[in-house]
Amino acid sequence: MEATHPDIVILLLSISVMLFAAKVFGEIFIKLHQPAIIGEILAGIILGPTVLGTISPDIFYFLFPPQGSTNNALTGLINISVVLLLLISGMEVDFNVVLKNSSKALVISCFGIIIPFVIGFLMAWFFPVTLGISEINNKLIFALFIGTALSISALPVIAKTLMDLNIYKMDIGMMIISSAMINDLIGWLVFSVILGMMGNNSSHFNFLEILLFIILFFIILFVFLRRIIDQTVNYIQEKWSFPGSILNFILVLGIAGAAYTQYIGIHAVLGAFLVGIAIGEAPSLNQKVRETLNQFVSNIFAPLFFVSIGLGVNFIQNFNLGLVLIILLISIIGKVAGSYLGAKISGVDSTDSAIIGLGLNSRGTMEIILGLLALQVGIITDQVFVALVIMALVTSLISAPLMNILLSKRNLSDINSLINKKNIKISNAKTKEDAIDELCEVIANSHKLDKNEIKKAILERENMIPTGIANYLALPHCRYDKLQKPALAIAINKNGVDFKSADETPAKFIFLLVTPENKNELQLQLLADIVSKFQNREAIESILKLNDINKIEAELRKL
Amino acid sequence: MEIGFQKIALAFNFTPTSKDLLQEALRIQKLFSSRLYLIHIGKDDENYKKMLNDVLKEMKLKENDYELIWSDGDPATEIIKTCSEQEIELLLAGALEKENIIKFYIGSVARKLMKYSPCSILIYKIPIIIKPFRKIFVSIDYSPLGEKAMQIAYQLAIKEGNPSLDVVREFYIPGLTATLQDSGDVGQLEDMIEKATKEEEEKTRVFLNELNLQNINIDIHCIYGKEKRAERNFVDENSPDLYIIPSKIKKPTLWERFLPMETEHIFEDLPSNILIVR
Repeated sequence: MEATHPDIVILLLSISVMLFAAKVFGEIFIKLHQPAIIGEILAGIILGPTVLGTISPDIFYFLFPPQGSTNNALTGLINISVVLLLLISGMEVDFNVVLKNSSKALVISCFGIIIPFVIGFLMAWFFPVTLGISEINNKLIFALFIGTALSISALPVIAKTLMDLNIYKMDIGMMIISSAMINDLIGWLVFSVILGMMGNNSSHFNFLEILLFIILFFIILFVFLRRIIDQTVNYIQEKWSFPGSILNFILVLGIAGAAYTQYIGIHAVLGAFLVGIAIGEAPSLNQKVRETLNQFVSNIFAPLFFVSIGLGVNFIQNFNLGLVLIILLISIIGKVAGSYLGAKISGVDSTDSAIIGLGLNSRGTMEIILGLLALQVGIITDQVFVALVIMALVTSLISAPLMNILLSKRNLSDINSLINKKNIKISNAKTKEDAIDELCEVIANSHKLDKNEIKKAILERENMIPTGIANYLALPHCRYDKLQKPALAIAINKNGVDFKSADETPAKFIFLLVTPENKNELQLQLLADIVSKFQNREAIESILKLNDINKIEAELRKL
Repeated sequence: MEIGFQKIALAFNFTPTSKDLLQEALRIQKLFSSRLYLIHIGKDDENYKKMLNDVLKEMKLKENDYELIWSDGDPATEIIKTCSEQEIELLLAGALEKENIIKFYIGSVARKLMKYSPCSILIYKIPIIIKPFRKIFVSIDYSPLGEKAMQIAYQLAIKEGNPSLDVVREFYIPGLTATLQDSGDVGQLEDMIEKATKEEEEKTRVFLNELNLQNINIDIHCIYGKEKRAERNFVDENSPDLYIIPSKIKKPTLWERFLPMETEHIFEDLPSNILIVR
């Protein structure tokens, strides 16, 4: 079919309307501190049959003709958008880091996948009609899909939530991120297998062949091409025009990978996703390139895709409250409980496990893409799709506030949580040894440890190099093998004790820190945190005037 | 506490560079007052003996100054075996800057040594320039091995009489850029990296304080990147005389082949003379 002059005008017009609406609504949601994709989907619902199509069908059909060359072109563009979206998603799945550093994340994500998967599968298997399927011959595929749909989570939403909550770099943040990465990877692989089982008519291969081709692709990409990709990336970045050439290289590779998986009969997204991982793994890849590509796709292609969701489906006609509630309920229960259990099993305490469960509950973008693909190949109905979209949005919306509530109850390994009035002492000690003795006693009592052992370790360290820092701060510290979590005791000594600090001030704030033997980095982190607190001399001197322990505690935290 | 090298060994052969290597070995031996072992892999024939004697005579080495070990077999395997048996603490060897097919054999010995040597190993880039290591860069992590690398770098810098030493610490936050896909903005992302860099610098400073390294000026460079790539680029730009990295021996399991060790690319194309601390 040849595109006529007016067809092209309409296509361009509809793209510009979609992008504009997506930006306006997206930005409103950003201002409300909510994910932009909610706004973008809302924009699609308004432009689509749900609102515009009902109020003014003429304008709706003019802008978005249901068939013809404009429609074909737009569909093509949206397909490319999804491919690119999966390409950049893959690029942030850093499973090298995950596998090398975190066996806990592996356990957490396994439980976070298996439990919702089983719940979803069983629900769909035993109550297919409740979940909106009447055709019994598709039951296995449908049940497998519902299982997968409930078990996937969305890295971008999760990463952003952690960043906003300021827990990204903490242990718990890294556990959530690593688990989400594994989750994404497994989710997409399982989904591809389901698509393969569908026995796509256009495919030349049977299921086993498809499976074989995918495994082959995986091995070639991650075993043989890994080094070559890295070296090529390095070469292009250094020798060719920057960043144009490297962006081109990534797109060429990503789209070629997409073409391959589409050809063997799965879906283009899987190829793009896997190539994305392989490129993202390349240590040479410049951070600027990552940022540029992410912005390019997230601000141009992703909005087109999310708006298009609302264009295809009437959200009011297909809204089935019962179905929405069931899907919402089983997805949240499955995911939160599964991840919680995984975290508990790997030795994380209850509060943290709950935070991890809630953190991984966000489904966001991934769920919607998954849902749309399933809708396109006819695994699910419009009603189920609408329910999945709503579930994706609701889970993304609720996770941050709920996590925040739990975070406030949590004992962070952060220095402020270690500053506790029970461990603050107003001291009159005259010598360094007396000051250390007092504080060792505080820690020994509060953590039920042997005071003499701690004192010995502290003095040994102190004799090596004195720990007087500057601005009235001294930081005696040691590592101790009978301790699981760091312990801190603080003495405020108005007369000051000599700890041989660099600026020759007497130590008036003595922070005695004992950390677990094997956690080198934690010790450095805490010491660095304390030192960075003691920069503003005026604020420090004003604390010395206080007598009330409660106030001292509050001010020390504020520093 | 002074970490040094009581026993050092030189993998010695009769290539044009071996005299330079020997001279460097003698220099290092003096710095650490170590015992020198010369390891030669090859047939114990008269011709070689004469060549070796000539070289040693030329260097004015007396018999008590060194211990000679002859061994026959696969060079890398034999050298590694000898190092274990003799409890060598530092092995010295030369490597070709970039390997081509003809030179591959010699180069691959160096590469095997870098990967599997049981002790610390100093690999010289060829051609060897005989001069003190003025500009030393040391890569650190916060592990005990990282501490050891730092201690060695410090000892070496002091012994060479250097006024300063550069510490490089690479760090990475996985998945961070994904935030851009969900309404994150680049400003926020870059602020976070900048803040993390400052925190990392503070941590490195505390780490160095713990080691109590006096009488030297230490410059800290914290670099955002992964698997030592960004660090490597930084080192390349600054072309130091010696680059020290902590790296454990890893046996190549199936898994390793799938995920090669992170420092491997450094071994393939040396940025400078390199000291692997283990």
